Amino acid sequence: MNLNPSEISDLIKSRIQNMQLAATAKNEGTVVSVTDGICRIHGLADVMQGEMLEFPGNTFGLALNLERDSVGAVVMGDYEHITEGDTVKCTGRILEVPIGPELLGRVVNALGEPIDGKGPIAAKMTDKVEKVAPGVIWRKSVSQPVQSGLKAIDSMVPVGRGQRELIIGDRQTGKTAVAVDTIINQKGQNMFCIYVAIGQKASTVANVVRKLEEKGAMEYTIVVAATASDSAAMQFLAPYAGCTMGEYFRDNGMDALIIYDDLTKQAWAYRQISLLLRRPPGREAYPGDVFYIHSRLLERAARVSEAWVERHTGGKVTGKTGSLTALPVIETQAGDVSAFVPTNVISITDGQIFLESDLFNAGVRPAMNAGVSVSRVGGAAQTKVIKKLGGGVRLALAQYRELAAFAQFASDLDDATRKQLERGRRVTELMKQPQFAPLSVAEMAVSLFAANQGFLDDVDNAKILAFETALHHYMRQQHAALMDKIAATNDLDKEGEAEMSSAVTAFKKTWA
Amino acid sequence: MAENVTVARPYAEAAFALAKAGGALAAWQGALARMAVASADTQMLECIADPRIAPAALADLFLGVSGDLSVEQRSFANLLAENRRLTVLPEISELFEQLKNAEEDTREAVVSSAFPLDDAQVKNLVADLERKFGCRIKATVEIAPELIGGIRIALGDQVIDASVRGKLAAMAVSLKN
Repeated sequence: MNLNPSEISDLIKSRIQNMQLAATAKNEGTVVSVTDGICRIHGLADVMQGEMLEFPGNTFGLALNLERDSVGAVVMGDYEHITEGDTVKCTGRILEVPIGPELLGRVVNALGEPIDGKGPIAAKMTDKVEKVAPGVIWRKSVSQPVQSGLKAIDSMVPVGRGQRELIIGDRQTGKTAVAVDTIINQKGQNMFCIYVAIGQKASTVANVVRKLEEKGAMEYTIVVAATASDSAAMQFLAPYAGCTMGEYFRDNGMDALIIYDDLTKQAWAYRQISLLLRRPPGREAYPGDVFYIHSRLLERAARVSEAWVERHTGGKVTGKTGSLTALPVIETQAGDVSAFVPTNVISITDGQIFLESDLFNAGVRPAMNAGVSVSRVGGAAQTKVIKKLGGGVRLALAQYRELAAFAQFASDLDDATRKQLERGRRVTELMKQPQFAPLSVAEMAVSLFAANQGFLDDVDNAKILAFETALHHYMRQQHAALMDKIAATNDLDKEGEAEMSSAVTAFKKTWA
Repeated sequence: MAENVTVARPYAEAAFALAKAGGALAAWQGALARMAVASADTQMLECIADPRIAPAALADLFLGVSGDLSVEQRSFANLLAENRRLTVLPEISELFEQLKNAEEDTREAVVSSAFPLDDAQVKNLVADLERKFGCRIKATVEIAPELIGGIRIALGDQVIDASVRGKLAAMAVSLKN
C-alpha cells in the first residue's frame, strides 16, 4: 500500500475546511478526440488562451488552440484514462508553480511537484509559469561576474550575472559537464542555481543530482526534470516552470543561475504538440512561433535594478539588484550550427560557448573552440585580475591557430614563429581542466600569470597540468597571504605581481 | 463532431436568413427538425453514403420521406444533396434552433434533478435563472438519480452544478491536489 504525502490528516482537515462548495456557473465542454496527449474539446465557449482545464480523474490540461467550434488542449501527465465524451471544465486560472527557498535541494517535475521522494514541499507562494520579462527601464547593465571555475571560460568567454550565454555543441562534447561544473563552483558565491533537465534519460538526471549532492551543491540548487518518458507538454513547460522559480530569486534582490539542458529537446516537444494541434509546419517542420518560445524564455533572464526589486518586494528589500543568468544548452547535429533552432538561439543569446567533438577527442577538455566562442557583454563583468591576465591567453591561442595550420607544411621555421607555436601549444594544454575541479579566482590568476610571463615555456608540454597543480599547491602553502589578497580584492597590484613572479621562479627551482 | 458544426454553420445561417426574411421561423424549424430525423435514419445514411446514387436521385428520395416542404425548403435539401452534405442536417437543425433562440432572446436550460420537481419549483427556478442571465429561459427537466441530491443546470456551455455528486467530485479533486 503506497502512502501519498498529501494524505496527512492535518492536511486533509485544512483542505476540507478551506474548500469552496458554493455552486458557481462553470464553463463545460466535452472531449471530442484524444490523440497522443492532445485533446479536441467541443464547447468551452469562454475559455482563455493558456487557461488550465480540468479533466476527469484529477488531470489538468492547457488550452492552446482556440478555434471556432473546438478547443485544442494538451494534457499534462497521463491521458490514457480520458475518453471521448468526458466533461472538461474551465478553471479560470493560468498554470502556476510553487516558488520560494523551500524548493532548494529538491527535484521537482514541470508542475513543481516533488519527484525525489523526500515528502511534500512546504512552499508558501506560487507564481504563473508564463510571465512577461521586465521592461527596459527596470533593467541594469551586466557588471558582476559569474565564476564558472573553468579557466577556459572565465578567461576567454566571461559570463556576467544576468547574461544569457549559450552552450552549444554536438552530443558527447561535455555540454552538461560545463553546466554542472558551473553549478558546483557557485558554492559560497551567493548564487542560487536551477538545473532544468528536458527530455534527458532519467538515469542521466539521477547522475547529475547525485553528483551535485556529493559536491554539496544541492543545498542551493533546484532541479526541474521533465525526462524523456514525460509527455511532450511537460517537456515544453519545464523551462518556463524553472524560469519562474528562478525569477523569485531575481525579483527579491538575489542572484540566480538557470541552466536549460537542453532547448533543442524543448523545441522538439513543442514541434510535436504543434503538429498534433494541426498548426501549419514551417522550416524543419517547426511551427512558426518556435523563435518566440525561446526568445520569451531567455528574455526573462535579466539583471534588474534596485527600483524593480523594491517595487516587487513592496519596499522590503531596498538597494539591491537581482539577476537571473541563463545558460541554455543546444545540441547540434554533426556540428551544423546553421540548423534552424541553433541559429535562433545563437541570435537570442549574448554569446556562445562552442564545444567541438574534434577537440574533445583530441583530449582538450573542456572542448571549447576559442575562436568562435564569444561573450558579448561579459567583458564588462569580468573579474579584474582575470581580465588583466587573460588577454594574453586569448591572443596566444588566436596566433597559434593561425600558425598551426600553416606550420604543418613548413619544414624550418624562424625563431619567432616557433616560439609562438610553442607558447600556443602550452596555453592550449593549460586550458585543459578535469571535471568537478573548479578553480578559485586566485588559482586561475596564478596559472594565467605563469603562462603570460613565459614561465611555462621551458616546461615539458606533457607536464603542464602536473606543473600547474603543484604550483597551486605551493602557492597555497607558501604564499597564502597573496592568494587571500587576490581573492578579497579580485585584483593584482604591482607588489603582488612582483611577489608572484619571485614565487613562481622559486617554485620552478624546486620542481623538476 | 466539431468539424460537422463548422460545415453546418453557413447552411444554418443561410436558412435562418431566408426564414427570417420570409417570416417563417417556426415552419423552418419544424421542417429542419423533420429533415434531421430523416437524414439520421440508418437506411437513409446508407443511401447517402452510396456513391452509385446520383445527387438528383438522392434528393428525390430524401424529399419523398421528409414530408411537406415549401419550395425554398425543397431547394435547400436539393443543395445539400448536391454538395453531399445531407449528413450534417442534425447539426444544421441544432444551430438553427440556437440562432432562433438568440433572435428571440431565449436560452435553453437543461435542469437535471435527483428527484422530480413540481411545477411551482420549476417556475421559481426559471424566474431565478431569467433574472441571473437576463433573458428568457426554456427549461427542460430531467430526472437523474445519479446526482444523489440537488440539481444541475446546463445552459449551453455554462453549467451550474449544485448537486451532491458535483460537490463530492470537487472535494475529491481538492483533497488530491
